[in-house]
Amino acid sequence: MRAVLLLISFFALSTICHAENTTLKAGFLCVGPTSDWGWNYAHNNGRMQLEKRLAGQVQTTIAEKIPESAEAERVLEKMIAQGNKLIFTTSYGYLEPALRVAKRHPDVVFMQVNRFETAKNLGTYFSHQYQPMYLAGIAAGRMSKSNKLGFIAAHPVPPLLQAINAFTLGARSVNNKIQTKVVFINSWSDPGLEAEAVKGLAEAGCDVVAHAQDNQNTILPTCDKLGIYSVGFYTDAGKLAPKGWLTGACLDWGPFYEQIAKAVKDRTWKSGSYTAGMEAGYIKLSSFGQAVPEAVRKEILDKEKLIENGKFYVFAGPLKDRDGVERIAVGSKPDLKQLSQMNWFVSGVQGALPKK
Amino acid sequence: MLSKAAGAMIAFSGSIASMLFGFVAVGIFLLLSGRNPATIYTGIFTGAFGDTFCLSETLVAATPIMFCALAVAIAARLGLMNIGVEGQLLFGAIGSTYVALTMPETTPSWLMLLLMALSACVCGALFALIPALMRVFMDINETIVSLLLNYVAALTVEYLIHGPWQDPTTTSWPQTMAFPPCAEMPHLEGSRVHLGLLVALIIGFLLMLVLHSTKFGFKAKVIGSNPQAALYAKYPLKRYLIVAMLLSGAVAALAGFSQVSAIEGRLRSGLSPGYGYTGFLVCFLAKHNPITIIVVSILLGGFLSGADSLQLSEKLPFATVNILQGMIFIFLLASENALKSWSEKLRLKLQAAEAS
Repeated sequence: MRAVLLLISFFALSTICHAENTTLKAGFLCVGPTSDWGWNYAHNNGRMQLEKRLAGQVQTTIAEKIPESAEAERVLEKMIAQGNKLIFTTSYGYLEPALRVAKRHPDVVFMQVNRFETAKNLGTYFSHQYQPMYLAGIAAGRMSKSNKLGFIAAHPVPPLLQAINAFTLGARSVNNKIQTKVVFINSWSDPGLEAEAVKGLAEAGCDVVAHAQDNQNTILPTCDKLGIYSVGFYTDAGKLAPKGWLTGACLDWGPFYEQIAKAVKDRTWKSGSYTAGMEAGYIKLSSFGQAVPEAVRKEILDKEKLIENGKFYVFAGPLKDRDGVERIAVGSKPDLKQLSQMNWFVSGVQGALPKK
Repeated sequence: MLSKAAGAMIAFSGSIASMLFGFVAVGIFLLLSGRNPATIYTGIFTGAFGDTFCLSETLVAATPIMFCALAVAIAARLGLMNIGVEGQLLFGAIGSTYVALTMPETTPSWLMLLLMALSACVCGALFALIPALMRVFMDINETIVSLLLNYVAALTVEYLIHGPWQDPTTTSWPQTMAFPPCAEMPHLEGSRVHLGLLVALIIGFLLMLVLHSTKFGFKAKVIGSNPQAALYAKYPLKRYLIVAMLLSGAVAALAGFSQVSAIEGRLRSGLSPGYGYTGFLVCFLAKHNPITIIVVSILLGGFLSGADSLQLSEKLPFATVNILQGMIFIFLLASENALKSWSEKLRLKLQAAEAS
C-alpha cells in the first residue's frame, strides 16, 4: 500500500517537474490597450499566435497600459516572480527599465523592440516597417491630386523617422512634386490631438494622411469623414476607413515570437539585434482599399517583389537629407545601427525636427 | 462632550469603514459579472502585501502619495483647497533635476541630495505662491488656480524634456540625461524603498505635532474653521495663508524630488501618474489627520500597486482593472459622505443621551 502511494506520488511529482521543464512562460509588456487596432493590437496578436503555434509549450501573460517609466519595473519584476523566463518589452521607452531589471535577473531573457542597445540577457528586435511604408508611399503619390501628403507621428524617434522618410521616398518615386507635412503628437496615443491633426492637415490641403500612432481608431475614421485618403500603420485596418483606405504596413509578430520562444526553450538564444523584415514575412503590405486602381496595385506589387528578394533597397545610397547633406554614400546601404540612429528627413518632408 | 480621542477613533474607523464599504459594493458588481470578488481581492492583497517585494513596491507607490496628501493637509488646515500639489510635485522635480544636471558629478552625495531637496522645495513653494497670492490679494479661488497651474507644470516638464534638457545621447526621446550616481537617494538594500519614505513619515509626525500642539497649529485651525473669528482675534490671516501654501508646495515638491532622484533617475514625462490627485483624495479620506494619512497612503499605495498584478494573475484586461479602481474610488467617496452623516447623527444622539 505504502509502496503504491510512494509510486503514485513519485509519478505525480515527476510529471509536475516535467511539465515545468517544458512550458516556457513568456510575458508581454504593452504601453497601450491591445484594443487600439494598431501597435499594441499587433503585439497581442503576435502573442496569441505564439500560444497557438507552440500550444502546450508556451504560456503567456500580457500587461497593457504600462507607462514607460519606472512603473514598468514593478510590472516586470512581478512577471518574473510569476515565473516568466522570456519577456517582450514592446514599446520604445521600455529600454531603460528593462535594462535595469535584466541586470537583476540574469536568468530571464528580455527582448526590447526598436532599440539598438543590448545586454547579455537583453536582445532587441526591429521590424523593417519602412519597407511597406515605401510601398504605401507609392500609392499615396499616385492618388494625391494636391501633391500634399500628411503624416502624423508620435515621437521624432528613429523608427518613425524611417517610416516618414520611406513614405516620402516612395511617393516621390512616382511623383516628384510631392511634399509630406509631418505633425508630431508627442504621445503614442492621444485621440484628441490625433483628430485635430487630421483636420489641420486636411485644411492645409493634404489629401492623403498617413500616420505612425499606436492607435488607429481615431485617425482612419476621421480621414474617411473628411473625405481624404488614409494609409494605415501596424495592422491591416481598412475596415476602419472603407472609403479612403489605400493600404499600409501590417506587422505579423507571430512567426518571429515563435522563433525567439523556441530559441529560449532550446537554450540557443543569443543576445543581439534581430531584424524582421518583409523578406521574412514579419511585416507585410496591408490589403488595398477600393480606391486604389488596378494599375497602381500592380506597380506596388512589382516593387514589393523587388524588396522581398533583396533587389531593391529603400535607403540605398546616394541619399541626401533635406538640407543637402549626404547621409548615405553612393552604392552603400546603412546598417542596422545607422538606421537605428536616423535623425534626419529626406527632401520633400516638411516639419520641425528636434534641434541637436 | 465626546472626548477628543473618541472623535479621532470615529474618524479613523470611518475612513477604514468607507473603504470596506467601497470594496463590498464593487464586489457585488464583480459577482454580477461572473467574477469571484474573493479571488480578485486576494489578488490585490497579495499583490500589495503578499511578500517582501510586493510590500516594498507598495511603500514605493505610497511615498509620493503620502507627501502630496500631507501637503494638501497643511493647506486644508487653513481652509485652503490646494489641488495644485500635482503641479508643485512636478516643479519640485524640475528644481531637483536642475541641480542634478548642473552640479559636478564629483559632488558628495549628501550635499547633492541636500541641494536637490532645497531646490525642489523652493521651486514647489514658489509655484504654490501663485495661487496663494491670487487668493490673498485678489480673492481668486485657489482651487481653480492651483488646478489650472497643474497643466502649466506638466507642459513645462514637456518643454524641458523635449527642448533644452533633452538627453543628447539618445535619439529624440523625451527625457533628460540620467543623473550622476551621487544624485541617487539611498535605497533600502535590495528594494526600491528609498529615503523619501522616512522623510515623509518624519514630516507626517512633525505635522501632527505642529498642528495639534503649537500656537501656529491652533491659530491655523481657527483660521480654517472660522475665518470671521480669526479676523476678530486679529490673527495675521494673510501671512498664515501664504505661509501655509508655501509649506504645502514645499512638501509636495519633495514627492517630485524623491521620484526623480530615487525612482526614475532622470526627469521624464509620465513622472507622476496623478500622485497629486491621489494625495488629495487620501487627505480627504483621512480627514486631514497626518497619522491617518500615513496609514491610508499605504493602503492606497498597496491598492494601486496590487491592482496591476491583477492583469498578470487574474488575466483581467487593463480596462477592467481601471474600472475597478475608479469604482472603488467613487464608492469610497460616496460612502464617506453617507458615513459622515450617519456618525454625525450618532454623535448627536450620544450627546443628547449624555445631556439627559
